[in-house]
Amino acid sequence: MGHNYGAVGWNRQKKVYDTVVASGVVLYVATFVGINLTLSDPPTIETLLIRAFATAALLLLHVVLCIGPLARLDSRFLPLLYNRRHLGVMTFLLGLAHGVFAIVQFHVPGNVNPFVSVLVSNTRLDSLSQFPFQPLGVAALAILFLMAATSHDFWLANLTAPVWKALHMMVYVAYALLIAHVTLGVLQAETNPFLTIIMGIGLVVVLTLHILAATKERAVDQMALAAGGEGFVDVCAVGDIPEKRARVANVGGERVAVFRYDGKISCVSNVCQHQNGPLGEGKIVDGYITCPWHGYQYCPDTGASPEPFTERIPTFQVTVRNGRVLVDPQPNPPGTPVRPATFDSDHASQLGESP
Amino acid sequence: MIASLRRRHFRIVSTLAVVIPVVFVAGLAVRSEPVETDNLPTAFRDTPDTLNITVLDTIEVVKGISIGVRVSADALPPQHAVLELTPERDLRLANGVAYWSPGRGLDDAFFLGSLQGSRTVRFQLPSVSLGQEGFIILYSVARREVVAAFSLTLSGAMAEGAPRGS
Repeated sequence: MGHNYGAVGWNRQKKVYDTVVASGVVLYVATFVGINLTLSDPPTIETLLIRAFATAALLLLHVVLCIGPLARLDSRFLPLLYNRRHLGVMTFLLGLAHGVFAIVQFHVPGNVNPFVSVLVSNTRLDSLSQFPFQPLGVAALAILFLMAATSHDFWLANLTAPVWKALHMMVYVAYALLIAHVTLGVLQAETNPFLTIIMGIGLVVVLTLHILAATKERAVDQMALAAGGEGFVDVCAVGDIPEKRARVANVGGERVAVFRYDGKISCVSNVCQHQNGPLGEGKIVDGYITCPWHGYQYCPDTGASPEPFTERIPTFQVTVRNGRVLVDPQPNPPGTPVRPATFDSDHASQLGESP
Repeated sequence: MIASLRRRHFRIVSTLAVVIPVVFVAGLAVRSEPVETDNLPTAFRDTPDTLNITVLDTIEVVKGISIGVRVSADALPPQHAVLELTPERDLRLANGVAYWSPGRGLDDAFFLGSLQGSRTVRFQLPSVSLGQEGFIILYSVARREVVAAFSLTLSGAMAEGAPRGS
């Protein structure tokens, strides 16, 4: 994967995924409108569409926000992570549809430019109950647009993973703005408690999942490692690492993944160059470390992706002594070959070092 | 994620975990009580046809949309007068409401209720409206402007004359 733009790498799985998502959205909107039309005093179609798109976008955003911590807590949710950005783009599109219909209904008939009207028509900044909630929605939509526009791997490569990731963390700011938009908007006049309860439940679920995932991850970062002599750190016993799998440890302030495969031990950075996925939660496939998020691969003893790909991750010197895996906290530059440490059942020690 | 990003992630989520619930709860706490407009006398809720009804002209009030005006009143004292408005189609009023006022302004107006869409609405007219000239004012709260006004003069329980559009 280079820095040149490449079209979306459609495959059958992505097409099925997107078809399911789009169909679900259409079904949701149709059901929402249909049910409301059966009521004794239904609102207009335009109003129903505004509400349908809004609730669909909010619901989908909650799903998107839950996928991350769920994948941290249980690896069975990892498949949901694969095309999460597609859900994010759909969330933006639904929010955009809601915004367009709302502006047409409430601001176009006026004599002020509707895009100006949505921002300045309400100046009650001194009141919480009458706070201008519409600009909050506009701000959230702007963030979601930025995220959708940069969702392609082209931007990931050119902005670099840390910058791209920092940009996409603004989804939390967008979420906060949307909660405020709904609470200070429709919930001010909505007498039916259903929407309030659903919002509260969604909020509690998202925050609870994040807290649980953070608690679990913190345990890894706070794991105390003993010194192993000669500057090395004792990570774990060889037997603690399943075959073709890894043990993740916090060494020198960063996480590393120690892989065991074919009687050898290698240590690489735990951070995938694609989207900072946890390589240590992946496995060795066809001799390559495979990221569990999107399948990016790296050679365990060099940290380099197989040709023609160019991604590189830092490697670490590793040795096995008395059945214990020792890692040098000082990382080698990305792509530096390191001879893997070997071990046998009698715990013979050999030193793995750069050739 | 790398450690620095994880720390940033932790700070962002920790902050919002406090801010978002506060905004949510505070927003719910400052909600105003809904204005009670369902003050129609029981007799007018189900069987208005048994009472004196005066059907007034339909008048064009909003952007070429006509609205049917009908007043129902008790035949016997105590007399209640109920105004019934039937738009021929969606009025498209942004947060539309109706007032009865002794004049064309809203200074001494009585709030009648919400007027949205194309459904028929019925409002109990204030007792002061009986026996004096008044106006029905259609107002858009969102745009803060009077959209339409027409005169409605009630003499006792009967409406007299055709309403004139503003």
